[in-house]
Amino acid sequence: MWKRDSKNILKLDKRILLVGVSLLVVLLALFLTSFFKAPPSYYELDGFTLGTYCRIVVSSKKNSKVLAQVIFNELERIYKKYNPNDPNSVVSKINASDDWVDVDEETFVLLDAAVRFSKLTEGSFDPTLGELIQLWGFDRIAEKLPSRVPTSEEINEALKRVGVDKLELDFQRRRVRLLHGAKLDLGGIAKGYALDRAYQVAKEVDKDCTGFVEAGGDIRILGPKFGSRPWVVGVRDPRNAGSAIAYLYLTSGAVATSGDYERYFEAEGVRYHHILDPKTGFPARGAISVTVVADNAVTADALSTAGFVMGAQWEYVVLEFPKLGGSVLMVTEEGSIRRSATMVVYEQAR
Amino acid sequence: MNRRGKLFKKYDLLLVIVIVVGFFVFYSTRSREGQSIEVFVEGKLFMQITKPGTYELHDGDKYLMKVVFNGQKVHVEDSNCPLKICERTGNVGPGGTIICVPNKVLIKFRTNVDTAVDVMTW
Repeated sequence: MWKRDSKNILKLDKRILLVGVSLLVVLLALFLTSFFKAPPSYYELDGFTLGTYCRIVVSSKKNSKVLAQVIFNELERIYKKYNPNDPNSVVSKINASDDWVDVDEETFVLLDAAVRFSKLTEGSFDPTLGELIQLWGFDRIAEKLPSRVPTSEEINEALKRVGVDKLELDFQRRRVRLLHGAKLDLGGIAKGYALDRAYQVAKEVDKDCTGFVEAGGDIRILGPKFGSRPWVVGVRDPRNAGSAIAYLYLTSGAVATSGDYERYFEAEGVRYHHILDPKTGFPARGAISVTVVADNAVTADALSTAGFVMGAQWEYVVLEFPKLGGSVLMVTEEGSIRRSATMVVYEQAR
Repeated sequence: MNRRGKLFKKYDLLLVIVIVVGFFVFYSTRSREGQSIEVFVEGKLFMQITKPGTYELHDGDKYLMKVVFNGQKVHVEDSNCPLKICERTGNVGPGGTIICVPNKVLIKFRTNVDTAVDVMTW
């Protein structure tokens, strides 16, 4: 039987022992570093869809790269389905008909949500602005914007074809109908819906995945950073793109911003931007940026648009929108920052 | 006790410290990457800018835009796109991005410095 002799250890070459000790120290240090360092790495996918730039940052115990692609494919699917400029889209099909159109369940639920948000915001959010958006030329995202302001006659004519009362939903037979030549444009809600779908498909693949999905500045959180920390979301300064006016700390939910600085033209020194007031037919006045934090992206998207349209009544927006599920941070035309009391929760680093 | 004491002399301990410190110096140097501007066209890395200057982007024969990097910030000076949002974005610092949707161009200011902000809402 082999007998252990502790003296043999001392007979080993001293240098080998020294190198061994050094390696042990290094390995121990690496182990401790990796233990205390944030463990998951994030895969990032950048792309263009939903008529804008999108960024997917995800970490999954499964394949993060594949998951990011699955999410991107879902965004692309929604874009194709509801893009009013695509003649094969569901929206184009509905817009082309003056009769009832049978729709799938997903479309019906989305349109029902659009109608509900329109009613909740007293028509400030309106999914039937298609005709008016075309008149102003804001529908052509890859073309030069016109610098002509439509005449009052043209706007009044277009306004006759605007209003959620011109969108009928048949709950029995799951079909929809547009009245009096109204045209759908789901730009104020489809992006939010796509982000919520991105969340759903991500969680179906891996319920524990974390990260976020951004589409044109609207963000849906998939889960906390490294599983426990909040994501730091900067709110863009509407008059200085390189800086932020506030920071939000989010571990879940969604945030969306509507501003007058992305799509606009100037005529005789006046800025005409793409967020139109359904009541006047002109670009909404009162706010230059409205950011909404909500539990889901559909709510954040619809309420940021509605809040922007209602910008002149900022007191109403910051006080009432939390009751609809959205915390508001608004920059008024004068440059003042107004916020819901509930917004403070998201502005404190945890 | 006496023999064990001889095993680790003063210089041996110094050698251990030199190896460990040397490793971490190598490790930290290796993981540090300088800041650079990455330009993507339709999702593919098109150009990497590390030195200050003015750079013209062409997609084949088609002129896309002129990108200016001053060593600290980057901006688009001129673009063929109709919307000009990329030009309006102005100067962008480390961690920032400039986007041109019609040309599907993405300009990212990469940095190893923690910029504190993960994403911007706009």
